Amino acid sequence: MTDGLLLQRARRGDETAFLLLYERHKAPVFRFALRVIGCVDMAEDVTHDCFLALLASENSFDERRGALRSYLFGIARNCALARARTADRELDIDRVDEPMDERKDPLRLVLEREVADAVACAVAALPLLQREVLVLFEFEECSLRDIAGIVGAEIGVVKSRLHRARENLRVRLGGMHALSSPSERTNR
Amino acid sequence: MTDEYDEDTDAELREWLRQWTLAVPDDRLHGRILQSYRSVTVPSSPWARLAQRELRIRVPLAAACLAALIVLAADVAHERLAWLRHPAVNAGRVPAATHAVETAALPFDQASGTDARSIATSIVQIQGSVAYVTPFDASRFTPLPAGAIRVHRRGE
Repeated sequence: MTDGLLLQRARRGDETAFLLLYERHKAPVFRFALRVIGCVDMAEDVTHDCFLALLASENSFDERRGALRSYLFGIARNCALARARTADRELDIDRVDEPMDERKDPLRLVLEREVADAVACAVAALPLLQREVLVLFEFEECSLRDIAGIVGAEIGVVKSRLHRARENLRVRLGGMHALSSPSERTNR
Repeated sequence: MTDEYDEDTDAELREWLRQWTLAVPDDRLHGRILQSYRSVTVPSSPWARLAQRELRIRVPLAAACLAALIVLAADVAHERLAWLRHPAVNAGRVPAATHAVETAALPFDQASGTDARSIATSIVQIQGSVAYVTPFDASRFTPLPAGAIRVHRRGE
């Protein structure tokens, strides 16, 4: 069943349809919010508000104009920006790591976590507009066209922000770059 | 179209970024969202909607329709079960029928010298729009104009 159909049913009070939609899209929306605003509680609030906003009649999602996930990212982005402005806090990414894989080498796990922390800090240090574009492109694998729709900017602007974000990251992760790539380090 | 593609293919940087993985939200958020959903949406089941008083306007309308149906059913049942009642009761309860029989019997009354009112009160059975009478041959008075009560002698 398509997202559009599920949304129609959810708006009419079909709880099963709503939960199906939620299960389909909760993870990317939550991850996006967390990577952009860096706080688990706020990311949960954004995810919550995002799915409820979807039900509002004034949010007229049109399946022909784009995927629901992009539409959700758009709502999540607005919620996240509003919260980030009001929070007025230094971005310090909360850790919500994936469960440890017991089969992996402990040293490898430690190194991966170290890299993840460094990346999280580097991304958190980016300006908000660069950060959201980078997160959508690199982590959620959105196309430039989709990102342009989500952030309400021209594709050229998106590319420019993405380029600057990468440049900033290269500088911030320079020390780690000098050592080796993550796969090389973990294979040693 | 090239504008839509990203020419910056720094595989090494991308590999670093992919190291930063996150877990999905836990059940706490699931429960919270479900609770909020229930509070803001109208349940699809009419009974559930009725329970939540979402049918404030439709309930009185439905009640009025139901009441009308009950009245109609009672009226039909009243006519269908008329044969169970005593003739005098029937005549008293159906003044319109009595009047119709009186009217219908009027010419006969003039010809035979029988009192029309006494004929009318001798109705023994009323079924629907048909009134059955006993003491005279009323077949000559049928049929009456549409909507009026037809008068038949009992047993016809």
